[in-house]
Amino acid sequence: MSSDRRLRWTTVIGVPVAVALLALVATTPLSLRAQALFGAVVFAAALVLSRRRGMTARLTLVLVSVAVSTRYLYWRITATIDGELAIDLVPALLLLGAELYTYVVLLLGYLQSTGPLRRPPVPLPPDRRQWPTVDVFIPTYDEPLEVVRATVLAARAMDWPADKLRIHLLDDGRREAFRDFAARAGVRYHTRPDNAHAKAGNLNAALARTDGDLVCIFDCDHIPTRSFLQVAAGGFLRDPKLALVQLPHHFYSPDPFERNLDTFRQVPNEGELFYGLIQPGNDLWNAAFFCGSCAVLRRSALESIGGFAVKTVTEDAHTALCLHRKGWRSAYLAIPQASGLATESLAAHVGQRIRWARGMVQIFRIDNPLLGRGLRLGQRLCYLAAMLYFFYGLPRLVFLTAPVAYLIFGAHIFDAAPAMVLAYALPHLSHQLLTNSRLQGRYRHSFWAEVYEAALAAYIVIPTTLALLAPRLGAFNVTAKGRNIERDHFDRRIAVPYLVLFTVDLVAFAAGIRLLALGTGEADVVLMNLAWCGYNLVVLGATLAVAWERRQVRRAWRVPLAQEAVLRLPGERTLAARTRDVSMGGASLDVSGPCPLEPGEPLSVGLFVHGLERALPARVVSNAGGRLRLRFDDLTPEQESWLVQALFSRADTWARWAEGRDADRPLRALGQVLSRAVGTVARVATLRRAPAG
Amino acid sequence: MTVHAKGPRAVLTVLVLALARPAGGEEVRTTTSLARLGLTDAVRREATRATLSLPFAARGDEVLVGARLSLRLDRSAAPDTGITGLEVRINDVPVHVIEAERFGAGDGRHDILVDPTLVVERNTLTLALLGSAGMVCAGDVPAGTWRLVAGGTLERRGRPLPLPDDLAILPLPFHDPHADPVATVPVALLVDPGPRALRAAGLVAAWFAMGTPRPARFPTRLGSLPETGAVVLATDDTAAAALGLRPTGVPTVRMIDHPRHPGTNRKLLVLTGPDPAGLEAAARAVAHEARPLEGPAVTLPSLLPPPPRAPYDAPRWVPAGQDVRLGDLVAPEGLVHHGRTRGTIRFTFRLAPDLFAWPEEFVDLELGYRWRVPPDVPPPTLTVELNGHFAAALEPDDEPDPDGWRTARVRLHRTHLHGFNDLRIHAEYPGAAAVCEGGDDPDVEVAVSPDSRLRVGDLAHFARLPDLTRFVYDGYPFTRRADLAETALVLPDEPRPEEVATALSLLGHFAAVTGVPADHVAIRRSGEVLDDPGMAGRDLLLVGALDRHALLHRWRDGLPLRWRSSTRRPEIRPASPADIAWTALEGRLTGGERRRATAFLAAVDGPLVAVMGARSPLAADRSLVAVTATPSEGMPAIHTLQRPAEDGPPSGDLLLAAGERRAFFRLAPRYDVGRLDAWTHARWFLANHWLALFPCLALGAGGLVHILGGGLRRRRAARLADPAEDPS
Repeated sequence: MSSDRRLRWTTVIGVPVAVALLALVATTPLSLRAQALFGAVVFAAALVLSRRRGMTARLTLVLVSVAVSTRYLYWRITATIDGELAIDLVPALLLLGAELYTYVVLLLGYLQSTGPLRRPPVPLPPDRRQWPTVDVFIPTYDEPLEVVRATVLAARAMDWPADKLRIHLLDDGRREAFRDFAARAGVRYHTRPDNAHAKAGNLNAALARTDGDLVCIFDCDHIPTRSFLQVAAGGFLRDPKLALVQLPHHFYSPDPFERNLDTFRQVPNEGELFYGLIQPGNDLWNAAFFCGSCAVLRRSALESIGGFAVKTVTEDAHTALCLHRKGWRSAYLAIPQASGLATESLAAHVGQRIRWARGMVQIFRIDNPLLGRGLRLGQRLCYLAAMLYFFYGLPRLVFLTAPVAYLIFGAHIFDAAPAMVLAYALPHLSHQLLTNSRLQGRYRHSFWAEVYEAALAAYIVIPTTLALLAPRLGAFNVTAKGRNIERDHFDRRIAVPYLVLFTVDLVAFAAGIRLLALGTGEADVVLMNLAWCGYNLVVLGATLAVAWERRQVRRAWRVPLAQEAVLRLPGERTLAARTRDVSMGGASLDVSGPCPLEPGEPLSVGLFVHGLERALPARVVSNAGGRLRLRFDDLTPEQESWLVQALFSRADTWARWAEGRDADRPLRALGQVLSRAVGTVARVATLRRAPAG
Repeated sequence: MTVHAKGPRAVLTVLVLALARPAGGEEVRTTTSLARLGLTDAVRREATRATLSLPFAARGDEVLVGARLSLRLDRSAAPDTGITGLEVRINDVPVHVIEAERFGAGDGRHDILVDPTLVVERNTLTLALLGSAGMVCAGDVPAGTWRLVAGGTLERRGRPLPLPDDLAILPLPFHDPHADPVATVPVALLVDPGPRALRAAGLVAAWFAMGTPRPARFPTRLGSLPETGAVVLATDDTAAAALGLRPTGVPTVRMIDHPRHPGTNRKLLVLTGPDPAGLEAAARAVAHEARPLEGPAVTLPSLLPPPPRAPYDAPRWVPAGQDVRLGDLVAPEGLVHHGRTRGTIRFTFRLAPDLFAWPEEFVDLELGYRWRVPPDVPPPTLTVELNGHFAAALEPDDEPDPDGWRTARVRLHRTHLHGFNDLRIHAEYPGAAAVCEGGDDPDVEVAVSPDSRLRVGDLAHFARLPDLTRFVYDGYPFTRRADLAETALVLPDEPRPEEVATALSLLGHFAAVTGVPADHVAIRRSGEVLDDPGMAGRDLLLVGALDRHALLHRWRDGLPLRWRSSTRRPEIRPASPADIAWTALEGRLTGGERRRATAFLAAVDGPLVAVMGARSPLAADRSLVAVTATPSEGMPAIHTLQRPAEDGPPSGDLLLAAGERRAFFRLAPRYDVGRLDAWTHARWFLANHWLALFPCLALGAGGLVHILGGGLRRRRAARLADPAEDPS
């Protein structure tokens, strides 16, 4: 009791005093020299601190970064936009608005990522009779059967009492082939007369026809491991108010950034920050939200809110928001227990992100998390962060074009000496970089976010703005159809905004060089804008590289898999081998010892599941240097199911995915971005001359 | 100021006619620099007219019998603009032409003698550049052309006129503001220089200083008369003894002949009273102009000192707590410029020197303005300048109101705003629209709205001291109370005339700044200060030679400069550990400043003047300023220090002057006077002691980490615990 009281008093007195001290730090104006020294010393201290581990060091870095950035913005607002005779107001306010936006997003991001919750799975009781019944929903609309098959087969293979597990294939495409496949695979098949409310409607329709305690949802290309339910479901038994357990979406194929920038499994992809850090961070505040797939929900919770939310195009987040408003709890388990294919092309990627952005903005408008009942402050802020994030379009475009204002139009957007701007802005930017590198290093490398956002900025500005103005406006689908990319080519259509931005910045850069050469204009202002412009060119150059679609024939993506295999050759000969990677179509193996096999030669490969061997027919594709590549012959459904289990079902299939990847080093990350930019600019230059590739 | 308003000239015209005899006495030569006459550096830099007119006048008590102009020309300093010669005219009569090829002759020095018949009482010296063609106006030259005239002097030769015994001629015979660049008013104290006599002298000095735009100096004699005219302060007894004057028993002021120079312009203005108190009363009555001063003698009332004034209510300052309304500063016609010529609308005003615009960088001038031009004339360009600093070019993009008025918010940088301010709005018509002469076209005008305001009404009074620039120019902090009610003037125990002269120049200067004589200044000898409890409530103004002033010696460890008796030389006091710590916290290391000051001292060969500022040793919220010199003969009049300083800080806690050199040094930690709200004060402290920001950041961040870290850990534990304990 007394320690409680002491705690309360520490908080009541300590927080205001500490905040006042930091406010003094943030609002005290300094001369150029003092500011430069102060900034340098604080940053040096932060650098030292960033090498220490633990919550205290992390939190200190965050608070110092907040203080330094607040200091910058305070100065920015009070000292750089006052003079109506000295600046051009419209661009100046645009830039300031963009900076304020990033500041708010930065603060919310710190709130989300400072104390991520690393939740262990809750064990299930030994008595299987107490385990809940589970309906597994696999909604599909127009995806090819070959994609859906593996998911259904893997779901069927999940470790759960057979009498308590029902797999439902929810086919909004109403296709006979799917019905046949479901019958053969022994899963239930559902259709409905219309496609109202798309995926959410599909799920709700299935909800009405089922009665299991829990509902487990997989997108039709998310293949679960056999342990998925055992990992995810335990919490529901322990906590009666738990409505949702979300697991990460893991992708075993490269997304267009990874493929086209050649960063697959070296640089964390766009989604890893969210699933690795943001969701665990949300979970601390009981605000981890539903992501549409790889999640288990409590039926009674869903029924209490009238099923899945249907008013927005991101029914998943909105459903979670409704659950939280009703007082339900959510949990997030950062253990990859399912895996899927990433979006195939940049166009498809862009389309998907536009949908997310639109949906989040719709929620922001019609069910704003800051307003309404039922949420705690932490939850409101986490949801706010998730939604505000998608407003980055306009601010990002402003940052990418701001130097143009001065270099081309001679407009002053800062009323301050460049040296002063540097003295204030450099600490602001570098602390942000340092702190985020420390918090996010495993999930997001420095500077890459700039590339990810630059690629999407031009595309989400209009949808988000429209959604903000008219949240109930009918969906206009920008979904790009997935397709094979048969050959390397530059996707000019999708790259138009990047080319425009790149050209504008290039012209501005040239104009700046000219100003320097002529000696007109203030040299220091020109130099500062040139540096900024140059940085923009690097980011945009790397973004252009994303539009350079690399050849990918998407039959089946290989899964890295190292396990024992037996090669059975005609004539009862066997060879011991070890798989390197396997896909639904073939495998590559290391063979120790002599291996006299010719391409085209038939054989069978013995793969093991639970120690049981099953042989799959295959043919040799190539054999060189101890590396054997095989293609499977036509597999029976049973063989296919076996292969799925061998490939995707082990509980630890995806656990070590990120191993061997280097930690973030900001300067190296900048170098990586730079190298992509330089490479692309050279290639785009040649493209201009060559016929369209 | 009835006497001054009437002026000496009207009286004198009568006199000259009446006496009409060439004066007795020898010819007097007075040399004035051309800069004093109006050819200032700013004019040389910026003037674009091909002719410059510099007025000069005879003193009211002399007849000019000739003049000599010495010009120093430097062709290389000016742009080559095809000038063919320089013509000199006196009262529009050409007297000399220097051909361009002869500009450099004789090292560039040219002496021109002026025929005595050309000069009268008031004259105009005109310098005209010949042969400038191709400019928009025939009479124009490019800016900078006047750098050609690198310097020069005008020597007046005058024969003094005898003056009557009439008080109405004041400030003659001592000073004629039209003719004298500096008012020199000799003072003779025929009484013991005690507090009352000194205050009396200070009041008279104040009266002279208030009545002239020129700086004033008061060379002083103690117990004897100079050979010149003088203001004599005496009791009835001493006046009778020294001058043979009949005692009146009441405060009296008289104008009499110098006993050794009768019938000349060397007159004595004699103030007497039955005792020192009566003398002080006489001086007070003169300073407050209680009686019109006419005739040979005036009996004065025993005026009591007026009640002490509130801080910042000096009549010459814009009142505290008010914005400056430009219409209040000039007559209505001063707000308008007519015609298509270049023009300047100018405002001068004094503000409290400690108006504190911080953390804002700028003070807003809400400037209403308009122009009226015929449709075929393009509008003029308007620029705003404060104290020589460019502030803004007015570029309206909005429509004016129906009367043509527009408003601009002009930001004036806080460091450009001083005690005395000179705000100018320049109007210029572009290209062909400009006319050069006779542009007094009533249809064309540029006007400034009388309701334009400088937003200083909300500013706090707060200052960071020592700031000797503010002392030298504005008398701050002493002038905070215009009547010096919180000032103690401390002289050495046995003051010397030079020391008294410096004190009088200070009291005169303060009065010129505020418009009020020093009614309530406490005057002490150095031995009287420490036992006087009232001294803790006053700012201390120590005046005296460095080696003679006991308090300078006693407080030497708190002052930047001290007298070293072993070497008989001044030295810079080494920094104390506390000094080092505090200046370091300010982010300064003073070693370089100390070396610079020591080097300055080492180079001095002759009298050294030093002004020092520090916190008062008697009270933490009070200041001390010492005006000192070594030897005592070098004690300065304050105006001699009002010149630009050498490279270095623009102000400081030590001002050294020797010969032509003058430099500021900032050696000791600073201190603040005035009141701010706690939050602003804390930020001000941190802004000036920025090293203290580190502990602030460490404590603030550390405290929050401690509290929030605990909260995060508890929250995490709760989220992972059994749901019964989950708080959410």
